Amino acid sequence: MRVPIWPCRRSVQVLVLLSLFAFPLLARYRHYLYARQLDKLTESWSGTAQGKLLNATDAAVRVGIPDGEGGVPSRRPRRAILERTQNFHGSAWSARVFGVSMTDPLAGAECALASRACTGVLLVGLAIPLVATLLLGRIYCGWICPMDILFGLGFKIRKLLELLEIRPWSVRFWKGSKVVLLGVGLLFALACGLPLLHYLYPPALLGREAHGFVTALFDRAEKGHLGWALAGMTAASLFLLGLLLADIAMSPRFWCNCLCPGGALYSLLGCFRLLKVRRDPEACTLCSRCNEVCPRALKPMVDPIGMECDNCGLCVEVCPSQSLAFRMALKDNGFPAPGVRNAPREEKKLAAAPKNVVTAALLGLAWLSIDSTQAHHILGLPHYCYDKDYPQTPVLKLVENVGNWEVQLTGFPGNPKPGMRTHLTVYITDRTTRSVYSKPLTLSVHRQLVLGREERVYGPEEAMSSQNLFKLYPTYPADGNYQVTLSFEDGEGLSTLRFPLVVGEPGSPWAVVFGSAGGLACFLVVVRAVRIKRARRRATPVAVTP
Amino acid sequence: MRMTRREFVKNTAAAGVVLTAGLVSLRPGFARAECIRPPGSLPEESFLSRCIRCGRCAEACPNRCITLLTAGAGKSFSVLPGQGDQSTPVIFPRQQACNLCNGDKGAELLCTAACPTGALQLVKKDPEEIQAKVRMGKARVDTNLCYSYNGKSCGVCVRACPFTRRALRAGILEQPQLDPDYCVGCGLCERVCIRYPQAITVVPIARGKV
Repeated sequence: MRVPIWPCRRSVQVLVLLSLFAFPLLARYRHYLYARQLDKLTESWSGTAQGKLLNATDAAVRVGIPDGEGGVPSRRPRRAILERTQNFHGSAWSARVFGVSMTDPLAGAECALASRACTGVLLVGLAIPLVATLLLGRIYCGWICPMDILFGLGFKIRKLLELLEIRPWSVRFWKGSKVVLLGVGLLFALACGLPLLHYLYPPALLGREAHGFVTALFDRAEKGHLGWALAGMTAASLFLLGLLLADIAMSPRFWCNCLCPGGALYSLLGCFRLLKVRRDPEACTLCSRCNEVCPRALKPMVDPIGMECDNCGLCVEVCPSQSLAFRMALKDNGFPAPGVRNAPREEKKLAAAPKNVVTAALLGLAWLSIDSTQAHHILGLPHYCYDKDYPQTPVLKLVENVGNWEVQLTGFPGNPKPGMRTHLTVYITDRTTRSVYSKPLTLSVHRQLVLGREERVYGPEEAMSSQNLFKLYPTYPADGNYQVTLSFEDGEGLSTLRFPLVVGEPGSPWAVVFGSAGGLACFLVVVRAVRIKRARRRATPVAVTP
Repeated sequence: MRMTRREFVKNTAAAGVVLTAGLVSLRPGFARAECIRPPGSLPEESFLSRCIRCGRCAEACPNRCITLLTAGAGKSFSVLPGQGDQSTPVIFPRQQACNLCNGDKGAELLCTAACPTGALQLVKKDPEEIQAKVRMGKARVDTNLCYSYNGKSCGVCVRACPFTRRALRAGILEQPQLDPDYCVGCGLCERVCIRYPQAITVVPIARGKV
């Protein structure tokens, strides 16, 4: 009997992907329950995305717990739910599932090297993944990593492009690059005491982005912006998007096969795995279908399979003669097929090495040099989540130091709505003597428009100190990013400071750029498809009557 | 183009040197922010090397006071993360202060129980142990701003303090009087302060010492 491998694998991956979003949601649900705000919020958010999500979570976590608490039969069993939900949190990087703590071995390696210590907690978390990897090989990549779904999608898009007669490149990379990257990353962790590989490791990034997205969704709701929005993500989303595009345009799964530091670690750990795909050379018909289907670009038909195999089972499934199968074995396959062993080996393997090492290095540098302050604009994310107002109004508390002066700007509310009268309070003290600055200061507010243009909406207003503070009451005409400019006499001359301020929920001009670029791309694809269709119709021989 | 092993090793080494040099040159920008860390955290340097930025503490916190530090999250507090403290857990007490798992039935502080690496050391939910192990920051009273020091009686912070009469005592006109030896830096005082800007603030330990 053959077990359907692919559906099992995909469903595990989909479950993992869903849990990346479900766990932050659960955490937020838990918080509302803990703060006794759940009923109030689900009622006021009923019918919106946030309300539905909370209701769904509520229904899901109450399965199997009888209603009633404290002698009231209809009450929600708050304590029992809090206790149960405590056992689920985290992401694919490190998580607690059913009360069992599990940590990615890459995280463990980085942490142990960077801190030069290996704690008991860390070992407990590492136990299951490590044993699984030692026995089953690179199973994380094939069965759990949620990026596999994304790259699968990329492969489908690649096929679509081929259908449209746009041939994407097939760049071949050197597979050892990932080990180099892993080595450099770990050495760096050891030398500088800072783990940095997780800024490059897609499953960790994906989990973080999902956390940010779900958190922002509810933070916005608390401020009155209900419904879905692309918010809360950082430059990491951009990196993942870039990976997907490179995967489509350059070569399928080049990240997993050639650059992923996690993949390198798993390959090394899974070197002596027990569960292996092995070929029965007697039954094999040498159809080479397994070679074509392997996502790791291995050749199961040509032995041995090596340490890169992630036991995804695609080759086992596709094999028409059922000569490939999962077997428990210590050694790799030792039976070369007649005549196949001497098939031309990849001589270009090493030739590609310098290019790719440099690519990897540049990629890493480029990624590290992205300043996330600017980068989140590129995705077209609105300025949304600077504050969390629950249960109070949003907070704005900006501090800048000039010479010996500490300048504090507080706003009420922290994230005001357009048209509303707001307070801005400036408080300037000497950092050593704690004496208060009391000479007049001037303040103006500018609205920042596209292309660096500015529009003055308030001031310049000269303010006098009253009770040690300078109070101003600007109103803002529209949603947007504003800049508060403040000048004061600091003893040596006039100092000017700029503070950012966000009013409402401004969009980003990049959203328009990205939206129109996407629309244009879709349009071009349709045009191309129509042209191909026409060309084919013209090419078909038309029956001509003599 | 064929390449000899020697060339390959040279190339790899060169790339490694470039990468490492690039990374090391970024060092000053690694950890810029001075923030309040969750309870039970190691000293800042060891915390940054131990923490794997998994965000489990943030999800475990029932009070939702732990934020993962991003440029967006820190912007309204003038906190810009460097590459080294991106996504590390921080607490902005003004936004939501740590209530030391008050109201939760568990035996430990939940974030410390969730930490998979020991960057947050396990702290039992016992007042003595919290006093001994937790030092998130230190409160600081600004007497220029505090209502109680300016002729009005307020005392909100004294009532919010989980260690009233030890860490924060009420003096004349309910003036907050701080005993820095007992302050754990939970920030509940800053959270409740009714003055704009807050007269009592929690400063991170490193800055508090200066």
